[in-house]
Amino acid sequence: MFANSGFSDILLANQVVTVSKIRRLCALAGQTSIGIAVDSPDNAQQLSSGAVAAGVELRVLVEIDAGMGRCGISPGIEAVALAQKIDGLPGLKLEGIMGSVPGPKGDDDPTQHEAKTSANLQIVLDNKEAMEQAGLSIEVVSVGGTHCYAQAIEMPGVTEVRAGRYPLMDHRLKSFLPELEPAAKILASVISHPIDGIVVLDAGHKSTAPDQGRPVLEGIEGANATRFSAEHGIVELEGEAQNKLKAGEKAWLVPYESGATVNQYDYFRAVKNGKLEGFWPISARGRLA
Amino acid sequence: MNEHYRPTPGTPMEELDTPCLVIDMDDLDHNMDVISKTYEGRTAKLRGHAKNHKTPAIAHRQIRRGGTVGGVCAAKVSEAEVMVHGGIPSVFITSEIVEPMKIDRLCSLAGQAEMLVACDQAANARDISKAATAPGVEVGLVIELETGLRRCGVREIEQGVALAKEITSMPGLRFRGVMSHQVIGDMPDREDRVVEANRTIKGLIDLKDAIEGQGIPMDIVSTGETWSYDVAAEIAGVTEIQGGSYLMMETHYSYMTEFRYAGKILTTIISTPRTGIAIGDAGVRAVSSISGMPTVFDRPGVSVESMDSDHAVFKLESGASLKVGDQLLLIPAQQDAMVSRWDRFVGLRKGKVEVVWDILARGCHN
Repeated sequence: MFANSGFSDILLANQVVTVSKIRRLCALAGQTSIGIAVDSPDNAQQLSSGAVAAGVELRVLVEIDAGMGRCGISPGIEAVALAQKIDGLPGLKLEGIMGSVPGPKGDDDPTQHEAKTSANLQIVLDNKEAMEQAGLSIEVVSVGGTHCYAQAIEMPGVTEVRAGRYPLMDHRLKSFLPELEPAAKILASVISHPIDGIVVLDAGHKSTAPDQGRPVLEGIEGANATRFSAEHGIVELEGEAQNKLKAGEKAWLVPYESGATVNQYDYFRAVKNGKLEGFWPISARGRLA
Repeated sequence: MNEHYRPTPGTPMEELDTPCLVIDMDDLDHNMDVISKTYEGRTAKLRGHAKNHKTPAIAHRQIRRGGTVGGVCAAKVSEAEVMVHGGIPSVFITSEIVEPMKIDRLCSLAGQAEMLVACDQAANARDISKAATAPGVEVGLVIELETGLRRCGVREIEQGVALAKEITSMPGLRFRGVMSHQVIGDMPDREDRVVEANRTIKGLIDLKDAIEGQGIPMDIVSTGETWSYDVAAEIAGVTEIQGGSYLMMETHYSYMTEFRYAGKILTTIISTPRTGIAIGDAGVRAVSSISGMPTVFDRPGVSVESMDSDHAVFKLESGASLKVGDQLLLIPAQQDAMVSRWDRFVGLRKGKVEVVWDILARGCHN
């Protein structure tokens, strides 16, 4: 999708393991420069064979587990051995190392989170050093995501920060990164005001994707979005707010996790000073495979 | 609409690109047949909820296989548009529609198909009446009663009777009846569900009796959901059951063993970084965790430990093994939250692609 839109350098920050996907990846590498994350020797071998068959070169970052407990080879000897193997394989260019660092949850303490993030970033840098000591050239040290964008650039050795959440932002990161504003919101309408103190919105979990946390109603003191079912959102009103939000009126919801919300929509409506300015297709929506 | 992946009929499951939303066609047909048998010879019929599958092709198949009123429910005007334009002759929007623009769209649909809509406020009925009068269409109104969800709906019988009287006096409207919707927790015992259905739906029957007692006739008493599909149908007076989850099924209703898990996510293991752990390529964007983690289908010793946006972490008990490239099937805790994240279903029979259905009402939030 992004290669076909003309981007000239794409890092696929994940593992690609199936034969058909490796073929697609190598076809893209014929059009544009493609980087890929690798966390196992077998996968490195597979990618090498695919790249050689297609006559292309893939840039490879060794992914190490920097605290996520997800993908990524264990830091240390194994990671260095994987880097050495990649360095020796045709069709692959060992470019560097990458790690994803766990982001904060809504109620984490910011100071503690910062200390934990430093320690996790250091794992990536330590492994870079170990690879260099083994005689390998490590040009790229890539870490992410948005939550550590400022902290990561303070750490000598980091060359790239993978961040995607900062343009739209969301409630989850708001208290940790107060310098960034939530730009993407859901506009909902009140469809029912059945009893005092409760209104029902036409936005439920299908239109907000609150899997990782509930969206937050913005701008009306005393009005709190407390429940979401598939098609409805329930707002409880206290004090002054009880006179607001009549049937047909609008309310703004700030997503807890903007990426999840965006994935539910086919278009962004770009609004400036309360007027529609743009209508952008979310072209890669639903590209889950 | 994302058109990049459309496997050819006959493609074996092992060759599907993942993650992929798949339907086992034998299971889907089985679930539809349970419905047609259950409602055979009964007054009450199913009006399947289209919000669960969002796909006219599935709605038509459901109607053809029997046991239904010959129409569907929809949650949104945009969803109803997809169903009407897809040839469904009768659509009941089970939410209140209040914005002028949406009411105009509802009236446009009423010129093309039988349209019913939920209502809980006289002001809203007046707005629909005004909008229906100009194009000369008729919109069917169904009064929603609140029966425990603390959501939309009139709260008192008297309120409902007064609203019914107002609706019958308004041009462009036809008063059709009453509806309610109930959610329950885990209730595996059918006898408990009988009691719960009678307790929650009693108010609806009271409202029906009170309105009819005022000389106002109605032809629709709509209630229910998958958990009450059979027990609500036994309550005298009920004419329609709103049910949708039974079709794909979800672990939330695991005790309803007469239905099979038809809708699943096919995922591939992309990494096995440590002993006892494997990482799959499907995260919450592929299978929502809003009502709980999905369950691994038919693979003893493997369970979902956690999920991020695009990854699932599987835990392996000793004895279980997974290698990179292996496929797993996941069954959702709540199926409509899963379906609404996809652009198409890949229907498999005996492990081979039989159909590819576009989920035409996906993203219909308005």
